[in-house]
Amino acid sequence: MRHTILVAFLFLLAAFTALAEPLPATSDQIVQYKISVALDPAKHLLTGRETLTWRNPSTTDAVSELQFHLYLNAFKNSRSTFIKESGGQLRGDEMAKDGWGWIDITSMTTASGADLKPTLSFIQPDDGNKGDQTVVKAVLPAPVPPGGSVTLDIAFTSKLPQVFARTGYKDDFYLVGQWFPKIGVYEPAGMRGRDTGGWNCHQFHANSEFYADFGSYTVEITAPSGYILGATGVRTHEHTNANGTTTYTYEQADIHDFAWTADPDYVVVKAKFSADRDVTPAEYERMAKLLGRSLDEVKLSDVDITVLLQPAHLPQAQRHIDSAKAGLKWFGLWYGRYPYKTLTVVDPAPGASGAGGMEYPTFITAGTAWMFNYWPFDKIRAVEEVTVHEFGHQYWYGMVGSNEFEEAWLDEGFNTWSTGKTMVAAYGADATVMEFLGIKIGEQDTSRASNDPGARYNRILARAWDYTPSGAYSFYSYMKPALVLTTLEGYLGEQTMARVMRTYHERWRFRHPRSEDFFAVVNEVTGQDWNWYFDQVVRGTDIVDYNIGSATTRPVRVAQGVLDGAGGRKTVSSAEATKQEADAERAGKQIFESVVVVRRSGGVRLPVDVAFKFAGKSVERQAWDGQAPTRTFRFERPEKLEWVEVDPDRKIVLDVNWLNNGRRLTTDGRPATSWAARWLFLVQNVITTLGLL
Amino acid sequence: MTARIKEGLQAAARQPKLALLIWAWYGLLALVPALPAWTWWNAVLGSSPEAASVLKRFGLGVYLDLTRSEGVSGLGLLMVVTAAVGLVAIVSSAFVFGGMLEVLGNADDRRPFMHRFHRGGGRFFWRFLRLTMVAAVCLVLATAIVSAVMAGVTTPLRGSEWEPGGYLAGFATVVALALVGALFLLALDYARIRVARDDSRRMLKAYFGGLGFVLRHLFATYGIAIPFVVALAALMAAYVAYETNAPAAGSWGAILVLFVIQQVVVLGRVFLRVALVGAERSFHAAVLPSPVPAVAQAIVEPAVEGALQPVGPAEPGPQQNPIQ
Repeated sequence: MRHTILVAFLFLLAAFTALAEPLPATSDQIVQYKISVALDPAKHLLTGRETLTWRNPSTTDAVSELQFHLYLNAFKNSRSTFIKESGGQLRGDEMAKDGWGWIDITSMTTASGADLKPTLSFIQPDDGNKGDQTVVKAVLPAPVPPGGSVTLDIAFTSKLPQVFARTGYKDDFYLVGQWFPKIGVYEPAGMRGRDTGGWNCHQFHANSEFYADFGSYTVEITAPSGYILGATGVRTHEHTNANGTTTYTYEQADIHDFAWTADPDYVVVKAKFSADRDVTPAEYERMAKLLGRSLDEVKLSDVDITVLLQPAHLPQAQRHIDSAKAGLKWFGLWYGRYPYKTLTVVDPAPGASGAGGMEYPTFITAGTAWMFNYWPFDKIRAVEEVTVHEFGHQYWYGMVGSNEFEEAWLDEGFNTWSTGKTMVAAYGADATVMEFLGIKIGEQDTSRASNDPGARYNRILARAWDYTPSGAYSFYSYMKPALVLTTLEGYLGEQTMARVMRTYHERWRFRHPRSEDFFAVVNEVTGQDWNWYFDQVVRGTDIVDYNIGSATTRPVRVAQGVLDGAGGRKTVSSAEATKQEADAERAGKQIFESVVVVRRSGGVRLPVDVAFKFAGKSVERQAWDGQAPTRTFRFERPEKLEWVEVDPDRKIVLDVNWLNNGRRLTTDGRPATSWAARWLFLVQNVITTLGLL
Repeated sequence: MTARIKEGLQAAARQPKLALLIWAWYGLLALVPALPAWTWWNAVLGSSPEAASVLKRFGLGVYLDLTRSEGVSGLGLLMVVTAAVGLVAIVSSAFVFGGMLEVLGNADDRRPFMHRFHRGGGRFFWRFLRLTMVAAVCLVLATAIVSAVMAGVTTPLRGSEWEPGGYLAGFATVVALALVGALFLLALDYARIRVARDDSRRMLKAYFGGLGFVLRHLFATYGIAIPFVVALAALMAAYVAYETNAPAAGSWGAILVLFVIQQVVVLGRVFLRVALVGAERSFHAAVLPSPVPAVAQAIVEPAVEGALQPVGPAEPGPQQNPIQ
């Protein structure tokens, strides 16, 4: 018996440990970069030298070739896959005419002195476009054995483009991203569902972002001394050179990319996120209870925040700081503490909006405009939204390093959902997007706005460049996944969903999950198989639309004709039946037959609740599995049916139309009249203006 | 200028039926796109429990679902109808102004108000319509020229690293366009006043005469118009403040209050426009006294009844010389 108890105890302990995994302290450090780079502002040129140590993560494969991303070559000419796909336009930004950018590897040698440059060749693993030079392959003189390492010395020159698609220069402003030769990810057999080991190193596509291994970066940046710099990681050294330049050294471990910025005009605003002052004890307690964790596990840590602002945006400094703090607080409480010491928020220069709204480890770009300094535009929460969103990528992309090329929803979608929750927590549900002259618009409205009933030709789970048309990427990678997760939360409830997300984050922090890994965590934490859900809404293309086909309520007619009963045969004339009905009505003893037909117009089948409200009674609910195209509900009661509503709690935000979810048996003219009055007023003003010119 | 503004306000106040009639006419026109909208929305929103949320605040979600319920074509159709009604309003403005000037110019005319209004409207309709078309062509040309000039002038501001410069350039362009637009619209007002006074029929000459008049009296004409524009802006700001801060229009009573306030606002802006025309007319008369009595003033008033003297049968005249 004692043995049984002991086994049971150990089993429970193991189960608890599985759910309450401690946050991994560090990543497995596949790569180590040491880079020295100098900025030549006159030519917008970077001259750099990189020492890269790469460890073969496989336990079985010897690796004889290496693959590198040369992202800047996406802007080299009109033959690149990026320019072909984007047409030189991305996220509302247009590439400047002749504003090309490129990167050349000028030398590549191994630590033993072997020259790899002659072995370099461009490859196009995705589309075979020979004009694309964003991926290069190097052949090693000897394979790297399983678990072994190779160190390379790489010299490179990068010409920055005029700001476009996250990177480049605008006058003396620089946002330097995707700027150095960056090794791809070698995925051993078994990793992310692979049957055999191999490189995962995609070309740079218009819609795709990035995927890289975790490691440490030490970067020395030399720039003219008048420039103000910001970068990924912690600034550890600063040295003024005799030639009027300054060299800054930044270091950071457990990251998978490095970006920096330089601009002589920046105003530097510093703040500190305090784990004690910015989060109340009650909030810690609530979160610990929600997650089923100890207070120590949910306790956050202090972070130094640096905001690099354009001078004209100085009145918005506090807005940047507050939103960064909101991100640190809520993402930290929900998913685990932010593990880095610094966070840098960059406000790109005017005219450099292409550099805005981007995430790099510990370094994000936001973006705002001078007009948002002032009423009535100061409550348009674009600054807050973009800052929280880009900060959120520290968790979904930065720490949980999903493959943004192949499964963009795992970072963009998860982050859109998390951003929405953070905005609601920080600014209230009704006005997370904006408050403008009395009009309030919230997160849910904007997410649902893009859920077009006609959007049924793509699926969430697709490579970033496979969406058709390519603009569908934003809905299927950002908005629809957010709706999928909100709907899932509707089914699971706040607590279970919070535990699912916490477990998923902890398990995959500093690792590379794929969608199936998330699904597995959902199944594990809930103890149920949710693949039926993900098969439809993540892997499937169809839409959700539940609605009321018809709803009637009318008195049950008294039977007439020749009726056989216990008392023998009886004939009831139509006049007698009518009289009985009238008597029943007068006496208030009528019986009403209510018939409701609920329809599933979309292809996605989800279980739903249907609510019925009868006169003088409280709301009743019935569950429907939602499998058949329709379901008819019939009632015979002394009360009339007043209204019926499918999914009354609005759990299914994936539903493309909520207006058709319910039906009143007697219409309420107030909403239409209220709107019509405003519409009439608007038209009257337009007409009166035109008519009295 | 203050005296002219006062006279304009007094003239509008003396003719309350004028503002009421114009308000009613444009209100009737506005009902053309408003009634089908109400019918459509009532059919969708009236039966949906979800729609109750819009009684508390504007619901973007409900609005989007509404378009999904009936298709975007419903909204498109509504826009087309509204545009068509706007066109009718512009055309009918020629009639409205004729009526307005006739009523304001003949306040002592004892014939019924509607008679005077329609007399003026009918009499000047085609002339004012041609005048409007001339003004529209001039306005479009002037707008294009000013836009091009301002684009050139503000290029350094737009291209500067100083971010407010772009906004300043945009603001300066808007102000310039507003001032030039006002110039051509004021010219239209004074041309109409001149045409009504002189009964002239050469519209091109009349419009450029109006333009010349405004340019010659730039300070005074703008000085008269600006207080009315400010008053209109204040009226609209007050409405927006009410809409923003008023409790949610959830009950029928609250909807009724909202509707009444809206109509008071529209009536107020019509009154201000009538008063502006009255002030302009007064100013025009003071600067350019009428050289000949206006046609309407030339109508001989019937003698009062008491002044008539009964006369008997005519006496035979003196003997006439026979024709020889």
